[in-house]
Amino acid sequence: MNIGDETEAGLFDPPKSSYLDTVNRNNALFANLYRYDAAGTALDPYLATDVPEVSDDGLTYTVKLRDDAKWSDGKPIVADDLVFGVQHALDPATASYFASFMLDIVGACEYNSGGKELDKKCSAHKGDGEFTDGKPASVGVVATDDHTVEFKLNRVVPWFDQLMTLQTFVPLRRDVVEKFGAKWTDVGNIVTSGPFKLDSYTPKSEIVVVKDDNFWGADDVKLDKITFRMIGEPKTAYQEFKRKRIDMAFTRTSITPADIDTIKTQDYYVSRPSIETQYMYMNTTNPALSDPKVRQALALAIDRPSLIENITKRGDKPMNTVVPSGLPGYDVFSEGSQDFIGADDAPDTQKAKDLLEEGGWDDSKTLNLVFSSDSGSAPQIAEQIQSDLGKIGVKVKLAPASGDVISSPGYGISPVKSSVDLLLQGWVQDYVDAQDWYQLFTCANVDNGLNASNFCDPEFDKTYDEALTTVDADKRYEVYKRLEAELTGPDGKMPVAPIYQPTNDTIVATYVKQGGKKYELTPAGLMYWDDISITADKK
Amino acid sequence: MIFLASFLAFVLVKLMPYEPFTNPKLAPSVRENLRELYGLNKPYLVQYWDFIRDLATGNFGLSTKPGNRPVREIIGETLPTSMLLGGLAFAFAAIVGVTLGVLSALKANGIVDYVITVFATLAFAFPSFVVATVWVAGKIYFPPPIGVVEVVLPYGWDTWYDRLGPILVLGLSIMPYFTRLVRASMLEALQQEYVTTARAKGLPWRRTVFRHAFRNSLIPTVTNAGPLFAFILTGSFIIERIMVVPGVADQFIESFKQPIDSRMVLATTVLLSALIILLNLIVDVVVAWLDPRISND
Repeated sequence: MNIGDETEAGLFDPPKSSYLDTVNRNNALFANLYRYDAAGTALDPYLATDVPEVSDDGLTYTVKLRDDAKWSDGKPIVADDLVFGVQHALDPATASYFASFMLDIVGACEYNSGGKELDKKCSAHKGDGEFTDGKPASVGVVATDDHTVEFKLNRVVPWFDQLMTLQTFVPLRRDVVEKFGAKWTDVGNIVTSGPFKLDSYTPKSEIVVVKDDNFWGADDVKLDKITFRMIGEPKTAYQEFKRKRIDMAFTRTSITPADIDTIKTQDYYVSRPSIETQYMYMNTTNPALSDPKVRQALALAIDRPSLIENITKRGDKPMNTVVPSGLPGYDVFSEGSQDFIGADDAPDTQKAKDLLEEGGWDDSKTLNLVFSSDSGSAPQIAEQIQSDLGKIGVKVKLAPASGDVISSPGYGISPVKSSVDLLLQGWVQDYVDAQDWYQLFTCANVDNGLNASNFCDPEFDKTYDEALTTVDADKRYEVYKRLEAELTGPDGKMPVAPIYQPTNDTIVATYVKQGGKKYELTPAGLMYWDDISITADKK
Repeated sequence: MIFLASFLAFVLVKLMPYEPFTNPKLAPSVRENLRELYGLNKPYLVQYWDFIRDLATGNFGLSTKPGNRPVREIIGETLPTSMLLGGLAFAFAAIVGVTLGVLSALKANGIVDYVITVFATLAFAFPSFVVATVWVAGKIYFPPPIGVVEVVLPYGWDTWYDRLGPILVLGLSIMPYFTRLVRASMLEALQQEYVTTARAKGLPWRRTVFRHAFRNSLIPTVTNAGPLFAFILTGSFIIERIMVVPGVADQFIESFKQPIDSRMVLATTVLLSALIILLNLIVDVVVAWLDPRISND
């Protein structure tokens, strides 16, 4: 089977992978503890035998590993391998971005910081405990027997089990990594745990993996070989696909806006709403936007159905909440918005105008709308918003910026500048809990720019903190409902205008089957290879 | 010279207002740890010293792109491709260019000369990015017959069939220099007295041309080859990008994509500068060998 792939570097070291493509490729090579089920919300034990056992105080997670799992060199996979894998991910020399999601494990931040400047770096993750000595052995991940690992946390993280699906929670071989250093992932050195093993790697060209007979489920693995071909351009991927030189393409590489009209009617087109959001942030510290009524008016004025039909063209879902649908508990907490925005219909311009007037909008003002000039349809979306807001009498000046500037100083690591009034930006899930979205609007995230609305409301923070300590999921959803109401409800502060929930889509030949059925995408765009097969239809 | 290049590159990279670690998903402490790992919190002078020290030990530091791969490793993957492309393009340009130049001079003002001059002028006039685009388009609209070569992408570097395009296009961009230089200096040489003398003493025409006129007419050609190498190098930035060749020039452009990969930019800049300096040095040596008069000056 041939896959149209994108990322250039052969990042086989799991915690170093940070792009979705690399993660998906590594899913063939490494067995993580858990994977998401088809709905993308519940955990499917993979290398683990069952969902983790959580202690009553919510601070200890115990994971049992399969006892029939083997490495590609035939040795058994044991609890110590998982302990080392976690330590390797936290090792400062590994430089894993995803260490960011592990810092609440006891001693994790200290080790990742090399034991230095702990007061400055690790106070946020210390909980009630003391700082550890920053040694890897002091990280709270312990093998209690050959197949049991205990994770100790400094504070309650209700979605910690979700984090265990990440590429930083995979067992790795201490002997191999220590023997070969950075070269441990080279062909010939690398030892893997997944359904496939690395056969060859030609930089900038292709990666070939072949079925690993040592894998515990090898009998059910259908493919003998997968070739990941590095094809950067969506156009090229599509050409190659039409010539049957690739059988499917990774999601981000496959379809250009110019081709979507042709492709979306084909039976090889697969799509699925992504658990992701596209927002228009409104800079609440700018005087023109300081009144919540004004922000509500702007959020109301956007014609979402027209934007989806004419610009994105992928059948995306218009949004009236800050959090995307598909999250567990969405039905509960989305009610907090009371559908104030009415996203599914053309905007109620009269209501928007009234709100503007109540908010004391000054007609002479012009708002700067910043957007990424090189990301897909953002420029067209910005133009439509300019015209939509024009209909309620708000003048907008378009301020295109390169996509990377948008995640640079000012928009990503320091507070958003006052020259930004409106900002088009999205957020993709890291784990399926609404907290991942609500955190964007906390005071703590103003300084690092994640809170691109510069929105700081002590009342919202108080409710947010309550959610963090509510381990029981159903109760937490009720708290989220209040958070949602405080943002997008009729009396909400509306620091952001939710626009739409994007769609993941790609091209997959109809002869590619998953568990014998048509191939389907997962909401997070994650791909697993165990049960993929190619039927005889491929000529 | 190399130090100057490294210093300028360093200053320019530091002047750029970008952060390598802007991924919004990074926890503040992890971002801080990454900055420390790459030495970005040190004073600029110390960072420059680190960089020079790394250069001296043949170690180019770590790429700041996810995966923190050693820059040396990435260059090791891409440089051979560029060398092959540049070397073959240069060889093609030199052989074809010089041959055409000689032919043109020998048949001066005839039909052959006319055709060659028009060809050289056209090749000179069309920028390589136009020729590259035309080549790619040509491969799309006129694919080779099935069975002869496997129909692959209209660009790339996988097979020799793919490689033909970039080599020819890049070679074509400097070929006219050879043709024109050789033609002019050859014509001049043919009118020199030593050629007449050689003919007068009964040396056959063929030998006169190759032994005397050709060898002397090569000197200006070789002297100009140094700048031509530089030309090939800059040309390869365009060719590698358009025709999707995984070379070091393409990597150089790639490393400028935000967030900027500063060590990669620095390493490739210094490397490419060093290459040009080295090639110019080689050219000087070769010229001295061809014409002993120069070394006596």
